[in-house]
Amino acid sequence: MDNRNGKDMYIHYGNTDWWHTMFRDYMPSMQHSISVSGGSDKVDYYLSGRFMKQKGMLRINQDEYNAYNFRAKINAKVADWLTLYTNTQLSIDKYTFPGWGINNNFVSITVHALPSYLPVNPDGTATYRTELNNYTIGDGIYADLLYGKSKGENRNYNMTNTIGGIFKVAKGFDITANYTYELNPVTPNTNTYTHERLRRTMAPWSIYPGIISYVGNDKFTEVLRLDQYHVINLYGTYEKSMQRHSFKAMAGYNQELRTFKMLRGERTDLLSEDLNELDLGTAGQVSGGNSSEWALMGFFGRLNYDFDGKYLLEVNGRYDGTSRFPKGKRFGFFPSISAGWRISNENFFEPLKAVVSELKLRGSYGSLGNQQTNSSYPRTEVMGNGQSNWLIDGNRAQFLSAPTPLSADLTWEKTTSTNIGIDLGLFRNRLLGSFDVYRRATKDMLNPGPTLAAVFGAASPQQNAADLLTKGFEISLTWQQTNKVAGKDLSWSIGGVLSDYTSEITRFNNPTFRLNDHYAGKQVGEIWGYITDGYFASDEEASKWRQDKVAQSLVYRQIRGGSGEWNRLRAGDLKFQDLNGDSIINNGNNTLGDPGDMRIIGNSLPRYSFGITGSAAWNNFDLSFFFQGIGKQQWYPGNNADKFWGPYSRAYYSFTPNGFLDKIWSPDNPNAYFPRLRSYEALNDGGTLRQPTDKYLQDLAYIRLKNLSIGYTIPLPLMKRLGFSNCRFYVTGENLFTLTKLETDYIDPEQAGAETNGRVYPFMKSYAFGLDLSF
Amino acid sequence: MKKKLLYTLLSVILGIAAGCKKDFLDRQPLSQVAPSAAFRSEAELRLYTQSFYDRMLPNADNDDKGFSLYNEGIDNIIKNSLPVELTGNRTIPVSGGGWNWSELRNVIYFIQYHQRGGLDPSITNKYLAVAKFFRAYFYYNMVARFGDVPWYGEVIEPADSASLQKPRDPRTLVMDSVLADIDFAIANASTTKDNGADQITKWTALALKSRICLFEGTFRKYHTELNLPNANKFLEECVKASEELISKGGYTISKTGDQPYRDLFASYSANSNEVLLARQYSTALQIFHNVNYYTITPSYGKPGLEKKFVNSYLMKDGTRFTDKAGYATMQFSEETLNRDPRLAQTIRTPGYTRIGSTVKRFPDFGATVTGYQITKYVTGEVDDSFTKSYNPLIIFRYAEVLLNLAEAKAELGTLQQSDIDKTILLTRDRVGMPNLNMAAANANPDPYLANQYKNVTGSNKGVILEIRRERRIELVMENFRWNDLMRWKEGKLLEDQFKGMYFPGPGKYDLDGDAKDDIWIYTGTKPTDPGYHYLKLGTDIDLENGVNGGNVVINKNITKKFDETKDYLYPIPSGEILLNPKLTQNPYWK
Repeated sequence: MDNRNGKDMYIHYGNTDWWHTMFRDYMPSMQHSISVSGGSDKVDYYLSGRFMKQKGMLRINQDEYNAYNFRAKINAKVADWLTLYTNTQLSIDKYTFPGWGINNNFVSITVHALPSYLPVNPDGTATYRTELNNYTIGDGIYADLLYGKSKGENRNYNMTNTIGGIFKVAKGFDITANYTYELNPVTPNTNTYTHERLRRTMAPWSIYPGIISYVGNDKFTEVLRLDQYHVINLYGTYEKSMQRHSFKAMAGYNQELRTFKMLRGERTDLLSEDLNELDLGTAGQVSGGNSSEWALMGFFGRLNYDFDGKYLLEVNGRYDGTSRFPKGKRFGFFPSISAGWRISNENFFEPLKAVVSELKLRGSYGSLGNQQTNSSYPRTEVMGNGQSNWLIDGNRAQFLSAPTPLSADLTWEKTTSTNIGIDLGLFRNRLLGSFDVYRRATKDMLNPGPTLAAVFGAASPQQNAADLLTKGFEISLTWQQTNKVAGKDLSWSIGGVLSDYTSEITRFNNPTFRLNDHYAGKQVGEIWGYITDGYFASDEEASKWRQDKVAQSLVYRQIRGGSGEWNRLRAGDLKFQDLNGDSIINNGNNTLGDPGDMRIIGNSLPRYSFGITGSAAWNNFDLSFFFQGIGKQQWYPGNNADKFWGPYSRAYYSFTPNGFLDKIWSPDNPNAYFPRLRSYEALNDGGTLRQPTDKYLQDLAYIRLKNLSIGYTIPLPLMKRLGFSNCRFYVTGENLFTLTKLETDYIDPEQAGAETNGRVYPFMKSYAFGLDLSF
Repeated sequence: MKKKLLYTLLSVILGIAAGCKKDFLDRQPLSQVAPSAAFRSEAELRLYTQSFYDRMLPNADNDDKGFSLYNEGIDNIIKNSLPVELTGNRTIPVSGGGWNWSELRNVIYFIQYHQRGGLDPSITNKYLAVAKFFRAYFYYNMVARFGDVPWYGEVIEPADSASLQKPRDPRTLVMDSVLADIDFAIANASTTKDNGADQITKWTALALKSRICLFEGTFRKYHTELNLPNANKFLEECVKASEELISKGGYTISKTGDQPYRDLFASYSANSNEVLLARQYSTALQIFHNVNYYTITPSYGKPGLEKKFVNSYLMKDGTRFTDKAGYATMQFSEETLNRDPRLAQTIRTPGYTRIGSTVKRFPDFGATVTGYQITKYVTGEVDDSFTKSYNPLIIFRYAEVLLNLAEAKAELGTLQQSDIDKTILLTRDRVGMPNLNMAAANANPDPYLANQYKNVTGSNKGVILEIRRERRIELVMENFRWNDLMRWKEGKLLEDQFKGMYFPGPGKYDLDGDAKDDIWIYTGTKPTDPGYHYLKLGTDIDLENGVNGGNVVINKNITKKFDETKDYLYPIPSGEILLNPKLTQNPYWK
């Protein structure tokens, strides 16, 4: 304790491991499931249930995920001509977390929590603001977690029920009718839940002994959704075989209606810190709600013809309408045809069968439609409304505003695919393989239109603005065989899949080839960036480099805006290649014709995705593994990818990666990975590391042992005696190891691929021990 | 059995067919109204005009609208880095750069369609007045930034290439349209004085007109290189608008409290005697700004007043500080004695205490680069956390209009002492300063100010300099300075080295006059005695002559540059010229 600026305050320094103060290394989880099935000749049923619980990685007030599933399926043969069925599925999941929401917790702790700060004062109160430099530790998340009253909960309640019947009208002629009702369909990756609750309280902290201050505000928010999905299907199938000919025909009708409804309430200053309900709020009452819907209807038909298992032909057609597009543009017809020739069934192939047991050629050509737009009503202009931060008489101003301009003639996006493939079986089907090449031409892709002059005053509306061409292939190979080992069968297999594709924009109205829009000839995923030229070797070289123009360089704006001696280029700063020779390092006019000093330096699409699987079984033991990975994918770390950039992003970043110091340029370490240490260079526009450069472009290629499992099944006679029909113990591990070319150990390549800053819940190495029992 | 099958099947199919209505795919929005159903009541007109305020008026903590309400820099408030406007390193952006028109679309939409509901102009004009106020406000800011800009009277459709490819309209045409808009607003807006200071009335419109016309009149007068006509017409319009507001508006200069100037800004509710329009905040709704934190932490560039500006504060008796012998080497505790009381209500001076506290606080060099640490707008210590301030931030206030009037008349040559008695006298009276004597000022123009504002000439030179002094002091931190320097054509002033307090050299100094030393400027190794704020010379603080002392100098290594041929206007984004080749770039920007 010391008297500073006329006040007694805590002055203490520590060596705090904030990571382990916040996070755990282990997260226990468990899962139980049970299923029962049975039936008579009239009725059969299936029931199953599952419970899963996973503890999260937060150390204080641990987060927790719970999931419950239940399923019941009953088929009843009511009459010879009628089977009725019902299939009900219920799933509930719940994630509870302390603090401000899981991402906010992660992001907050990454700033201002320096090891020299202590988490608590001698009197047990939390620390927050450090009066000496006014940093706010973890933006207050630690103080808040310690207090433990801020918390939240996301729940999903999903119920699906299908009822239907199959009418046997005549031999080979069935009519199926069914209706599916889904309550609260879960839409993944939207961060919306059936029920959301979030409570934020004021958290106490202290710096002046005996004086408690508070960080944060007291607020409770609750969101409830009632989303529904109705699907009706009605179709007939007819099958007939005559000698070596077999026909199959199907025709039907389908309609879907999806409705959304949301209600939201919020209040501040609650009467209790432990009870969380809107009625407890004493101020700041806010409510809101909205709904929307979309509908689809369509007719479909299919014809199959098979001659002797040698020649296969299928013709498909769909005629679909959507509520999203205006009348007259609503319906689209999407036909397709595919054919196959099983050569190995031909008589002339007989001599080859010993080696080539199976050979099939396949080909298809057809189109598919897409009507996914960013809103349910992309064709109908509506007045904007809401409430703003302008206060009138102490209340937020409600407002109406101009409609967002929309395109009046949206219609289906249509993708025409051509596919050629071979299926192969060799050596009595020990080696199975298939090979496919495809070409997909997308016309009238739904995309924001070309950028309009800023005087337009709004974003360019979504249109059928682009054409796209995608080419790719897929190969899969599996070897399987059985050997005798120690007198017992060892059956094993190993297989792999490999696929790849590239996409190119073939049409977009962008005659000046501005790079902020698509343009004809653009490779999807291309990354534009600058080419570096090492570091400046000396202050003198740096100060003379492009001396009169350096101030105009986009890439040096952050350095030039610095204070004191830091606003000059110095030894160890990144040097750029002045490709267009104008002495100014920038993006020129940001067009294909004048990209300044930028070039295409990489591509962010994943290439050469692969998977390797293997399995073996011997003497009641079994083993399986699965590797997955990609061969190439480039990623330039985002400006908040602080686990990669460390202090180059934010000076006050809490966690410096292990070994990072050796990667920083210094006169003694002139070939270090990172340049002279300057903060904000990766964070701010105009920083040397902010725009993609060839030097820091990462390759996300990786291979991961996704799953390994080993099991033992108790021999049959023993089990019988115990009354089981099957009993198996197993151990599995997930994400056991990963090899990657990525330059940091703290971001997983899949995290980087998912979010430009790699800020998503980390992947876990997990081990499980389990027991399967059947009666 | 076949019959049963047939009937069951038929009823299922009929049931589905009944559900499959012909208009199954006709789905209309459920939570928002169609434009054709809008503007049917007066309440809807009011609701629509409420969309303008938050989006078009300046914000507190960021300057995405061109100005932030307290974050003024320029040469009034110095920070530890320089904006590109002062280093001469502004470059032509590809997009953005202030060329943002989305708010205009929202305003014009109202102007074009507000009568769709068929309401009588006697009802709609009051709201049209608000829309026209905002269009005038928008175009005034665009003209101030870019000069000539295209004028739009109707909403642009995506396919309307004629409008999208329109060339810039001359400034004179645009400003005449702005004048027509603001005159309509004055004639039709509500005449009821708004005691909440949160809505546009006739009186706000008059204040805006006063501001716009002073800007345009003086800009045209001083920027002789542009040969713009009608400078006097705008100055006269400024006089007209200001006088109407003074005589009919019922506003006064607030003198509440023992520190009335400080309290006008630190008060938790807008003082509607003086304030016409303010952005307001609320603890109940948890809408805050960050001004306290901005002034007391190192995180926002350590703002502090510039030395030359501090020098321009008069002595309490009305004489000039810069006429005093040895003023240039006076130390802080001495130079702050007996000055215009607004100095002590704008920065920390000896004896300063936070509102609601009796602990004396001296300037914190950890939070201010010049030593002149801002206290204007700063409330009590309870609001000191990150974004926890909630006092209103003023957008229009009466004092500005008084100063506009005095300046417009002085520039026109029609100023009388009686005009000063109705304007400058009032802002000086608030803090107990003596009146400005026009004859004395003109007889003996202040050489210190004349050396700064080199373009002021004529018989009113002395009084114009005094009005500029008064304006800078009264309105500091309220974001007038950039536009003032631009319209006066005094951009060269920005090239001067920015300075702070004077120190004769390393050593211990008493900043609050309590005879106990507070800071210690040291060289070599840091002394260990407790109780000082330590500043290492050359690292934590730079003095003009190093160990030989001098004023604190800020950013001494950065060359500042203001190119008068081009820097009075901003460049048009290059990407916009690509999209519309008829859009020409501003002179000398390439």
